[in-house]
Amino acid sequence: MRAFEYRQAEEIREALKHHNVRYLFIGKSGAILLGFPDTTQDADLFVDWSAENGRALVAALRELGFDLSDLQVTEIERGKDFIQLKNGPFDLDLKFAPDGIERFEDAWDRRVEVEDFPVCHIDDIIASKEAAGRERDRESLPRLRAFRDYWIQQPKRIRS
Amino acid sequence: MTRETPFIPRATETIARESPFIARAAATIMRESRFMTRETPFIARATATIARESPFTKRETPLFGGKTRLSQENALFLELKEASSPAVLSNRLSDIGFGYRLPAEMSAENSQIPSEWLEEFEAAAKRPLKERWRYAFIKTYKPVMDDADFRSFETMEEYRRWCAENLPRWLGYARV
Repeated sequence: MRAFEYRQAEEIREALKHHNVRYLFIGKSGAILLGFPDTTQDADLFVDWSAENGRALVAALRELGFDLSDLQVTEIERGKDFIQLKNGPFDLDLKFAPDGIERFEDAWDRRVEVEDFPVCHIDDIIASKEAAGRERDRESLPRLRAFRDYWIQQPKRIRS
Repeated sequence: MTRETPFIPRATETIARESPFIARAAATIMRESRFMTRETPFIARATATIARESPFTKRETPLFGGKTRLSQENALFLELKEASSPAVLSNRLSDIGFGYRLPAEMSAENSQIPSEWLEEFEAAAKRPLKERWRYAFIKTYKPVMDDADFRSFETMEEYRRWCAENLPRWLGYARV
């Protein structure tokens, strides 16, 4: 069982860019991209739902080495709210409708680019975790909110 | 005033003290603060009020390091007013250097972050992304969760219910 490597994050970025997939890093992996010092296990992607984007995502995932069945392809293209992939080179959670965020477009407008990684704004990451209301988030949210207060004060050139 | 906006009262007090002509703006901000949940709209409203009420129409204003004239400020206000979100607004304000106008307040805000966390944030900010990433991702086996290659859920609610019913409580996926 291997940890998710930076090289693999770069591969995600390149493959999804190559196939013009509209997506954002969200969750703790997104916060880590923004500079939040913490640990996590896998990457969460917030994916814009459309048939075209779904098809592009499937092509990108296959390019990355995910072995997708026809059923899985159908479910990804259909944009079910939450899909967990553990049948590829790394674990990936796909969220088409994360808690706490109304529309992808809104999050896209607020996104932050970190070394070409498209990342949800810290406020959206926090909103999503608050809405999820999980025990594990209850423990980490105070520190994440403190990070938000720190991050928001940094000049934009440092933040991205 | 909400928990999320502690630095605004101090900021507005400082502005009012140091720049009497925008005291009314500060007063407006304070009066309206109960409607706000983030600090950036306060700043937009302050900018709006300053632009509207300043008697120094053709003179340099104290905002933005004294480099911006009111006509520019009005144009800026229109742009800020059209910002699609607080974050867009915040980024724009940061771009034009507004944040630098309130160093004391910013420091005061930082002082509310526990020093241990602040040190961690500052240390992380100095590391390259690649290094941060290497330290951040640690893989450990999560029972049940890691036992299937693929799962999908029609709704997030369905996923949350599945977590509550199937995962060991200690994993922390249950809703509070």
